[in-house]
Amino acid sequence: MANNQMTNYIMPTAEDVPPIHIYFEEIPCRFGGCGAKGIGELPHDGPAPAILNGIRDAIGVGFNTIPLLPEDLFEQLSAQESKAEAATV
Amino acid sequence: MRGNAEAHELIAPGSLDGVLELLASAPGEWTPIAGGTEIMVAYAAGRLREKKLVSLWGLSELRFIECSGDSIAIGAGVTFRDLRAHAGVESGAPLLANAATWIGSIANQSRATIGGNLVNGSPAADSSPALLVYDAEVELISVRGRRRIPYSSFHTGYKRNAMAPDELLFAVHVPLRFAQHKQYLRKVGTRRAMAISKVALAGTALLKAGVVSEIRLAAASLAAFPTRLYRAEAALQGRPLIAATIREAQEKLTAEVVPIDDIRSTAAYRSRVAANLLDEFLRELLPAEARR
Amino acid sequence: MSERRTRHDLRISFIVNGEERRVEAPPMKRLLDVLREDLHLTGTKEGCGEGECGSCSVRMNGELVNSCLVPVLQAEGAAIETVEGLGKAGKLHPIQEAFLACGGAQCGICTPGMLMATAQLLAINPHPTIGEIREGLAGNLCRCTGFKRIFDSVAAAVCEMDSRTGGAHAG
Repeated sequence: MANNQMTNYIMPTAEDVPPIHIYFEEIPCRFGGCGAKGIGELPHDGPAPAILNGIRDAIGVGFNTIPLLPEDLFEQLSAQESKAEAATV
Repeated sequence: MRGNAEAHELIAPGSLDGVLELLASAPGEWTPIAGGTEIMVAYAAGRLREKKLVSLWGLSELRFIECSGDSIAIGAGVTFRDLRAHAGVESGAPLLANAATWIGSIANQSRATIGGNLVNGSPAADSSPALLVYDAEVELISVRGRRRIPYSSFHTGYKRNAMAPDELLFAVHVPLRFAQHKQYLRKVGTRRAMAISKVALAGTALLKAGVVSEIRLAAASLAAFPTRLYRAEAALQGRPLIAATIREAQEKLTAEVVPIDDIRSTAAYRSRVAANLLDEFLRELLPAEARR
Repeated sequence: MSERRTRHDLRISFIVNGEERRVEAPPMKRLLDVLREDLHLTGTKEGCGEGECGSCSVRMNGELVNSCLVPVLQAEGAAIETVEGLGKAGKLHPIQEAFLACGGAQCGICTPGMLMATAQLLAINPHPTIGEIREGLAGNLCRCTGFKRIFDSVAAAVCEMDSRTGGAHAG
């Protein structure tokens, strides 16, 4: 099992979670009672790509896998640094 | 839950003397357990090899904080909640009071003890960097008497320390001579709370006319045990504090530490972040116009 | 505490939710298991067994502890408060009412621990800032709610307890 201890399964604590603002974009579904449509766990899918896009926007480095860790960012930025240094030699 | 309660003996002699007599009667056989925040985790995971445990919980002889004129004596049984709530520790050893807030959660802090933190000897121990830059001493006790050694000599290897098999950690002594020093402590973890450190750096420094007259640097998670950064210190001691000196100190730090790749982080990341933390500390000591 | 030299069942007594209780258990048995199995107080939950999730939080002698990390021998003579003791005679505690009103529970597994951590927080700090609420609950992991409604519940509990005691409540 990859995550077999809570010590190493790093999920956000109450000190980590950012303020969360919830907005509903209401477009009634014509097949649902009173326009209702099931949401289920679909909202899980959006945040990770949005964050990766934000990172690319901020530092110009794109990632397309998660989990994304500071160590991954560091590795990419270091590689870019070395490439830039090599280019100026 | 893989622990088997019937496979362990746990006794509570009820007094410090009782514990010391037990340790002396069978050196190395009985493992002290204070708040249990390490031992009980191993127990529940089915990997507690120690079958004979002697409880230190509730021993008032070990749970004291005494401020005298020139030092604070902290009993090994003091919990991290005790430490962070104590006004004398907050004012005399603020890095230690700060570190106490890092230990796990509120629930862990009310049980985890400073003695347990040091004797458990994790390279990532939260109270260690602060104690190292404060030149703390540890007091060890047995039926044979007491002795003090510098805390910097306490750890002798990965999870090995200088205690004899019949000895118990009795107290930690923190000199109260850092009121004028610049002080720094930062931990970089996997999240903001409940995080074992990827790297932590502590520092105390005294500058006189821009020259480093005293410097102590210590780190967690960069070696087999929490350690002073002697080469980085040597690059700063007696030198004028300018950007070039800081860079040199960073290079010496990077050369002297031996971080590893593990489940929490990578050696390269740890090294770079430690150097960044050193820069963060030292840059604040430069006159405002010299900071980049 | 008198010296005992057995790994097998000992008689241990302590106070739980104001009542004296006695159990026979091996000294290493976890307080969590004694509460759930010997005393049938199953409100306290096991989430991880490592002291990382806070589901097993109880108050022991006025301090919050993870009961999965307390060998029952070390609880001898202690005053223990579990979630069952929060309410009184069929009446919910204001903290419980706040969690109900604000939707602070989804699956409910973290909830007893959250309630005890909140009780502890408000006992020592009746008017916590949001930062202090976050820190007070940082040892209680919730996978469902994202914590937002839990913070709202704590804030609501503070208001309610203030209005009942004119601002001078203590846990």
